[in-house]
Amino acid sequence: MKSRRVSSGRISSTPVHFTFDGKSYIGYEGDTLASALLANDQLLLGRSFKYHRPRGLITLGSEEPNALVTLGTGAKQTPNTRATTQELFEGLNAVSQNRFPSLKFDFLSVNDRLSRFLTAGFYYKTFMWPKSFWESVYEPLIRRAAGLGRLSEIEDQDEYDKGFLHCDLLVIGGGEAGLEEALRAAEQGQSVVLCEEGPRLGGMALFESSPIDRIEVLVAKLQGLSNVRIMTRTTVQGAYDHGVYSAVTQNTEHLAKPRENTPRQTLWRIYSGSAVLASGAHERMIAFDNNDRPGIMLSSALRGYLNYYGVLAGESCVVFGSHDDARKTAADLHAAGAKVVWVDTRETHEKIEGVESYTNARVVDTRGRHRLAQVQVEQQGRRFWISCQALGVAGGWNPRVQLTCHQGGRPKWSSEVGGFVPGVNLPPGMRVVGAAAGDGLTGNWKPVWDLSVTGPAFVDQQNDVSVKDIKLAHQEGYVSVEHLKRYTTLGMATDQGKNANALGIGVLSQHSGKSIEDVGTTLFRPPYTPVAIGALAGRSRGKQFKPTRLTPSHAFAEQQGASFVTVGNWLRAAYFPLASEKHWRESVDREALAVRNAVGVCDVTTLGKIDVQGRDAAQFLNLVYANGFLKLPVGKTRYGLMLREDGVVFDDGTAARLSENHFVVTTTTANAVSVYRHMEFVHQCLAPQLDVHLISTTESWAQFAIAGPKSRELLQRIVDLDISNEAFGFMACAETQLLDGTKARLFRISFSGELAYELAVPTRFGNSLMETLLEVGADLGAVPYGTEALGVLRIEKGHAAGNELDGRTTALNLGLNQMVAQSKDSIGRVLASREAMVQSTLRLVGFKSEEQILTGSWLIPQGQPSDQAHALGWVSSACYSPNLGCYIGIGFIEQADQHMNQKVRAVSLLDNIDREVNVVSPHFIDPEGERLRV
Amino acid sequence: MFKLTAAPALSSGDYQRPDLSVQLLPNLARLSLAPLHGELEPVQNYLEKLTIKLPGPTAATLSPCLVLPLGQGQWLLQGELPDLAPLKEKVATTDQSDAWCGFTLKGIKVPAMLERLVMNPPSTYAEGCAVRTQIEHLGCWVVGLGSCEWQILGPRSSADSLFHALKQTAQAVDALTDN
Repeated sequence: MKSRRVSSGRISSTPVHFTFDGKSYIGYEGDTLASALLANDQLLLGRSFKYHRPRGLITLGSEEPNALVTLGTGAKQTPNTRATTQELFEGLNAVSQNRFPSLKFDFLSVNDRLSRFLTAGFYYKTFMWPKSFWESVYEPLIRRAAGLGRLSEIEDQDEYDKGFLHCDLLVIGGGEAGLEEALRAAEQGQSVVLCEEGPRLGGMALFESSPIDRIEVLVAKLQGLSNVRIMTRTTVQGAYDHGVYSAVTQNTEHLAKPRENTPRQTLWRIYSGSAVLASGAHERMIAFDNNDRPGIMLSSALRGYLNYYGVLAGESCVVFGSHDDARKTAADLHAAGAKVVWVDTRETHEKIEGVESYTNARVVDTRGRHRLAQVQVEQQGRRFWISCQALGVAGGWNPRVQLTCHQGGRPKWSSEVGGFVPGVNLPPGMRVVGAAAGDGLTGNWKPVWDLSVTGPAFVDQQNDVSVKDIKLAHQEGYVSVEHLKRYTTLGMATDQGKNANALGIGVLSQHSGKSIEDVGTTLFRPPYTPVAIGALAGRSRGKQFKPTRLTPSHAFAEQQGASFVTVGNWLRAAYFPLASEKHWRESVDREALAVRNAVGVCDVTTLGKIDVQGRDAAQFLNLVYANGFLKLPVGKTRYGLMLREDGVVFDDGTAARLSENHFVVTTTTANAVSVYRHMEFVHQCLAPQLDVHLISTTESWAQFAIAGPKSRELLQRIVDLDISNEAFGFMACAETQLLDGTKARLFRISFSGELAYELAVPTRFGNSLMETLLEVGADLGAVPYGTEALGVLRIEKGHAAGNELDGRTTALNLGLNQMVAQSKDSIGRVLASREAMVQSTLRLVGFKSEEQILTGSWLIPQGQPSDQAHALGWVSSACYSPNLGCYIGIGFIEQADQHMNQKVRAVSLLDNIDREVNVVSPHFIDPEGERLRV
Repeated sequence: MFKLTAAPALSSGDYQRPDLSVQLLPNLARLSLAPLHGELEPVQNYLEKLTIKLPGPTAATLSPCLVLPLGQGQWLLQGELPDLAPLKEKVATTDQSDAWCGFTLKGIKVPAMLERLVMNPPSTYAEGCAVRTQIEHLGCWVVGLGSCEWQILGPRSSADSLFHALKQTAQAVDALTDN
């Protein structure tokens, strides 16, 4: 006698075609996959995790442990989809999981016969010998066997969105209690967000046989209010600090052909003034032998499928319970024409005419392979079998308290309710109402947990944890409920213990002799239901993982075929390969040589630029920099060393005085934001009395380094200014214009050690200026150069950069101690004078070798072990020098004087490299600085 | 003789649908302005004579030019800039024309877009309000201009990334409301 549809219930009569395991079926609009399969008498839906036992659905909703299927194929493949929540759509294609070769005939069902060897914790006692098998045999096998569904391993092509909502009241759950709370708050003028997990408001009332007029009235009123936002298909996943909740809306899971660009899911961050948890409750199983056959489900599910979906799960049904709720199921099934037997563990109950009933009785076993065929009832010592197709179990109710735990609150046991109810420590601002608080659930419940005889009696069906496992764990000393969970994996599957936790605790209580209060419960953590990784990533994936900043000359660089490097969010040209160049070193060497012998142009816009203006601008810079700026003349630039409060070097840069009260400060690229932040902190908090104003101008100006012996010749063709050495000497600066009238700023500063300038124009002209400089300078041999050559040049010159200013090094280490003026106060001056700092013998030096020197190498004396105790220092920067024809580096070494012109070893244990290097001065090119001043 | 040409922040930044459009703003004149110590009142008085109000935190002046509060005692002006020559000794000013790129968002679907991009409450970008926030990790301004129109200012160097975020979100909102 089949499971079949006997009415349209509360869903549509529009047919929908779908497939399951390759077989075609018809369901109706409003069906879930589970209800449609049930209506088509397909009760076998999956195989259990460990024993591969045949399994069918047991619930109505997202707590389902068994009916997990894989939807879609390829990039759309989604494993572990709960058939009980998956809305049916035209063309839906689902396959069962965890079986080979088919659902009906599964090779691994042999595991069921080996169950005595596969008890809880068996893997802690097996897979020990031989050791050689651990990684080569056991691990691959276990990995293959683990998990339920399979990923396609093809990148998910779906889009996922994120969003932010703000409300006075967040109502979690769209059942009657939630609807009433939402309406009351909205009528008081509060802004309300109402989240309902399912596609329709109404909660459990929709699944009862009684009319739903009240629900419809509430929904209509709410829909008419502009201050209420109703979000169906939206699951609130977590409760976080300060009234923040996360929620996921399923946008397309129910659609056959969603419109292009529709995000599959939206992850919401909801900022609420307060929240009401009206999430209801779900029913609970009882543990008896073979309580997991397809056709055995929760009593509320059995009647829910009948009342809402119009599906009668069997012509003959048994309802078994320890709670008044079983009566509702028995009555509804009987009214639908089923032959019903009601088995009640309690001594009496209110009978139903026409329904055979047994009190003081219990179900102790079942028969049937791919579907339920019989149940065995025991009453007063007598046992007998009843033939049936469906069994509904009413073991009591578990309020959905998960969200109350997310801030560390612990649910408490209520013996009146027969379930865990919210404890005292709720997330701030949260109230709990309705069945979630335990209201209306008492139902003369009689505690019944374990009725097993020989087993298996399942507690956690998803992880195949049975009563025997719980007893074994207790016997082996895992007496704490936390240990019970981890040792048996009870509650650790995708349903996260929604069905198993309370039952498992009850079983443990029964066998340990402890009260449930003493056994306690584990806590629930977000998310409430599984969340796709894509939803957490949102738009931050692939190229959009982080935003990109493009330099003003990016278009030019792209056109030139530059190779790019990411520097923070910036995309910078690393080098500009010519067609004839096959290796990056060819390009970099060529660019570096061109700068030393002719002229090169490099986009240095990324370095931070901060405009400092005000009557006290100079005094302010005097405070933030270690060296002095009060007397810097107008039209001059000075190198600036910035220390942290603790005396360690923070950053270096330049400050150019454009007028009496106007400076332009530069920073390293990496520290542009942190230096600006630091300067604002000093301005607002440490020295608010100083009349100074700061603003970042990094974005406003495109800035280019023009470096090389022919740089002056090139620039004289561009700027409308006398830049002879007499008129515009080393470290000069000026606001000026180009020959075409474009406003500009010119700074004579050098990072490369050659005659060099930096020319700035408003950003919109940057690309055009780059093109013009190279065009105008073609006859001079002008070339563009990138960050690689920039690095080679500054290492050759011995300029410290980010590698050297690594947050540990001091001005003394860098050989810049004389820059820390003692005659004025400045950030970091005092703590830079600490004994440990001034006694350090670590100094910046250079290294030379015929072999490649590796950045990060440790410096070890000849003949000493390569370990921390013997380390003298490290190599902070290294490169090949095309100008010197050898490998060079700079770094730090203890007792530099003693090691100068000596050999030490540069060791990298990670790369297995141990090479001799000569310790030399860090200034390889023009140590006297003559080229800078021509 | 060379003549430099100006490039826009973005080669094209346009999304046009009924009820929802995203458009790149043309390059507008922008200036940061900070009265020196003791000069706030004279500066405010001068500007108010030109009907320009320096707004407080979270507010925006919408005409005759857009004025946003950049920080303590500091504002950003955009559009038809006033003549500030008379204030030369009283204010620090910096050209910010090239620091920002701007987009105009128009249409009744824009609020649905903004709730996907901006973590701040909608009241912070209602008409006459402005909020400095982050959009997909980019520091941006969101300004409520009224009549279903908003302006977003973001860093010029990330114009590509910002437009991409705006366009994707606009497409998503369109698709969701049409399904």
